Amino acid sequence: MPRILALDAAAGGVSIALAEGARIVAYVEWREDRMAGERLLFWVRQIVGGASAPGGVAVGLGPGSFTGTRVAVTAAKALAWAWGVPLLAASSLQALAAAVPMGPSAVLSSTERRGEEVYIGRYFRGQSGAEALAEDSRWQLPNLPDMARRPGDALVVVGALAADAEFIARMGARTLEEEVGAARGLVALATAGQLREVDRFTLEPTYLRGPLILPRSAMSAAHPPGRELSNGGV
Amino acid sequence: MDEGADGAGELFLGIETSCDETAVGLVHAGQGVEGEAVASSAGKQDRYGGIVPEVAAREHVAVLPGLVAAVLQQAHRQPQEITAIGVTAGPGLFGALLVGMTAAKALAVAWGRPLVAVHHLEAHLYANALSGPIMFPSLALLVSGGHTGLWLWRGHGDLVRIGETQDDAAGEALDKGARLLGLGYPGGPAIERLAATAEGPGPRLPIGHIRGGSPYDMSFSGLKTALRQTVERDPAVNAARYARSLQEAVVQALAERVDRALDAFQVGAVYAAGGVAANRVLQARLTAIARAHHIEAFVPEPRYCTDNGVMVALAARHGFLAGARLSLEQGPRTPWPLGTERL
Repeated sequence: MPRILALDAAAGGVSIALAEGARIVAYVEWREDRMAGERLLFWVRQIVGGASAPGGVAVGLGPGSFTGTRVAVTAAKALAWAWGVPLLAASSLQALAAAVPMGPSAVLSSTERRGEEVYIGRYFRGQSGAEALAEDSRWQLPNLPDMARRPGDALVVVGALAADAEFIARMGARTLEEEVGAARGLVALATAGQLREVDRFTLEPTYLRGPLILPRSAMSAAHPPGRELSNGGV
Repeated sequence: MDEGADGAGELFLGIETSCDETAVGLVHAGQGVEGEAVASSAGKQDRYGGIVPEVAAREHVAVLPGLVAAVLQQAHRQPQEITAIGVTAGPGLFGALLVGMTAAKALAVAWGRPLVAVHHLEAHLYANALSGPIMFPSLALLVSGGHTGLWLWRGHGDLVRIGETQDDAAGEALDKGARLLGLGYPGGPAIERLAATAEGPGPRLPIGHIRGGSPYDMSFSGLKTALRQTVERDPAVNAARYARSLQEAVVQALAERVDRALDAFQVGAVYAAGGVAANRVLQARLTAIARAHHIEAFVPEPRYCTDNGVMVALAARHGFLAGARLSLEQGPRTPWPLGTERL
């Protein structure tokens, strides 16, 4: 199996995995916000070291921290091109869902939370990979997102919302004992054939929000609570 | 091209993303510029009426590493031939710098090449190395939309700041004046074009003088108000004359400081750089002042006055030879004053 280097920085920290097929041979997670620029390539060099170039680079596209996602996507594009290997990508929310130990379960994954606004993904985690139940979106709390799940399937919440006990209780969900890193999920998605090959030059992160950060008052006027937020002109 | 005896045969890649331009340059120590490419988000920024850092950062991601690939192809060079990769590490927009630095770090890791952190303003000055070896000591004038100051350039990596604007940059004053006159952005070239059509001089605008500071300090913030008051008082004078008045006030303020510095310091040359240095009236004035002091004034070609990757590659070469390296754990450095404090 070819070796794959997987990178994600949409959730605040950085998550990096080197895998041979489904087997992760090196893994680093650095859970410190806004440090992707200083940590990501340092750890990539530590992990890849003097070994030959991997056979592919996988990256989480977000949505999540603008800066973190940009660092991961820029690094992945440049590494894949410079090594002359394929670039593979998936949603960071799908990657987080795929990092949950095998289901069956419905997974509500979440990356960056700003006040009551959070990026959420709704996925079904079965025996391999993670299937989307709805499109990734920007969500306004305290509304509870619909989770269409089969009777008997557990609901697992991972990412930023896992820290919100009240939300977990209202959803009737559970969390994992250990937080999961998206790079592990990227490896699971690669094994399940759920990563798509993307262009090394034109790839851009998924922002789900326009470039203008409006003051909070203007945001709530534009998006009254109670529904999914639009993509803000993206 | 500066052909240091120790540097022939070296190839340097420069990546610049400090503001709204993504620029890449490839420079050979013996043969000069081998490749260059610039992509600008100015068109997209226009929609927002100013530079939005998030828009700039998004555009940088979209075009990297494509621009690097295009430059290497243009130059028919292979990555293995690159001696070192230089990248602007500051000062500038944090999120924008981060994209260029991440791309540079990734290339350095994948290709196993050394990385050099480049100071954006110092890189502007190094654009002058295209016309020959930099002569030391010299006087360096940096004039752009974001920065305006004077330095004594005593050697590679050895700059002493002797004066700077206390408020607006010279280019900012031209931009504000251009907006007042209903001209486009950037204001400098628009003002210069319009001023050239003026039949006769315009009304005189006051030149800011700083009391108690360095004799080489400048002030441009009063110019916009003065121009507006003049326009209101004397609306019959046409816009071309006002453009000429504004240009003259900015050029005069810069020229006076340079003249004063050349009286005070023994230097071998004057090097101007930055977007405003592309102004031909300023260039002519600097040339005349330098000649009066029996030295020469140098200004890069217009496309090397604005942000570009070639200047970063040129600065990277000197940083590399001096042993300066960028660690993978180093983030953008902004603010980052250039050189040491005043004498």
